[in-house]
Amino acid sequence: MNIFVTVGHTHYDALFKAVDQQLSPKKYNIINQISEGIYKPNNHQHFKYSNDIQKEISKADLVITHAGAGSVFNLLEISKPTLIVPNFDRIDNHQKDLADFVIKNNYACVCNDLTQLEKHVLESMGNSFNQYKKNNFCGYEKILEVINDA
Amino acid sequence: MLKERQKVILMVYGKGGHAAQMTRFIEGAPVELTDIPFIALTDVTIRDKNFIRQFYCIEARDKFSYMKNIITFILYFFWSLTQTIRILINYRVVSVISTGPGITVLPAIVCRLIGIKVIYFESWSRVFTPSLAGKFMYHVANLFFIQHESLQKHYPKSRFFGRL
Repeated sequence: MNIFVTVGHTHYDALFKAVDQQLSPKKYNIINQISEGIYKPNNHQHFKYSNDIQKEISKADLVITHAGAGSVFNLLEISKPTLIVPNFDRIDNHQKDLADFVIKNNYACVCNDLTQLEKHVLESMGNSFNQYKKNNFCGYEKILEVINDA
Repeated sequence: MLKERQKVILMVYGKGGHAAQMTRFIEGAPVELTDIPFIALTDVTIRDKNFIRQFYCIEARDKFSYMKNIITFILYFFWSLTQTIRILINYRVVSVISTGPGITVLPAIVCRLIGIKVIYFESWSRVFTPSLAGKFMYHVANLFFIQHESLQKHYPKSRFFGRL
């Protein structure tokens, strides 16, 4: 199985450590996008950033991502099998909100316990989830109204 | 007096998801809006062709450590103030549009005080709880958008028009 692990522009060493230790290279073919992380995976490939992240996503059967909204909405919009792992290294609770949103609507699998990563990987592939439908922003006229109301 | 200044819209945003929201905002914008040139104030260092000029400023808070926050904030205060003044001297800003986060607060206050319209998007990652930047900006902005209807109870006067 091909897995792509991505953390956008933050660092999340605990996730890469868990991936490295729990997901065997014999079973999984993994590419890690580690951003500014210090931990370098030993058992799988990694790079910092890519100009073509969509290519990595399309090659993967499953994407493991932090709960950054940019990454999560991108994946949900293309209905990619996704496992979301909120980043608890961060001091604000900002990733929890989005993770709760995903759980509440059953859009994807969320892993809140890094010691159980493989179990969640299998759940992500096995379970069925609701399709996310985007409600496109349509407030441009309102903005023009405010700007032009000098 | 000030020289003849070019009319622009000032886009303020931080890196990561905030930059992604800004890109989506600009991609979806109608001609009436994109007819006005955009300049940016951001902590993103990569050049973006959507803007005729990019100004750099650090983010207001460190996201991984409380200790660094005090120093970061002092630095942010003077940095963003200087950049805002530079922008206002060189351009006639008709509106500030921001997708967050904290980097926006000071430039938005300065601009609002001199009568420039401020438009703010609470981050799409905020579904149930308001952000710190959002709580400030709710009182500063002329127009405040939420991207999840579930936030309406925290921001009664906010507007929901879908998600970027």
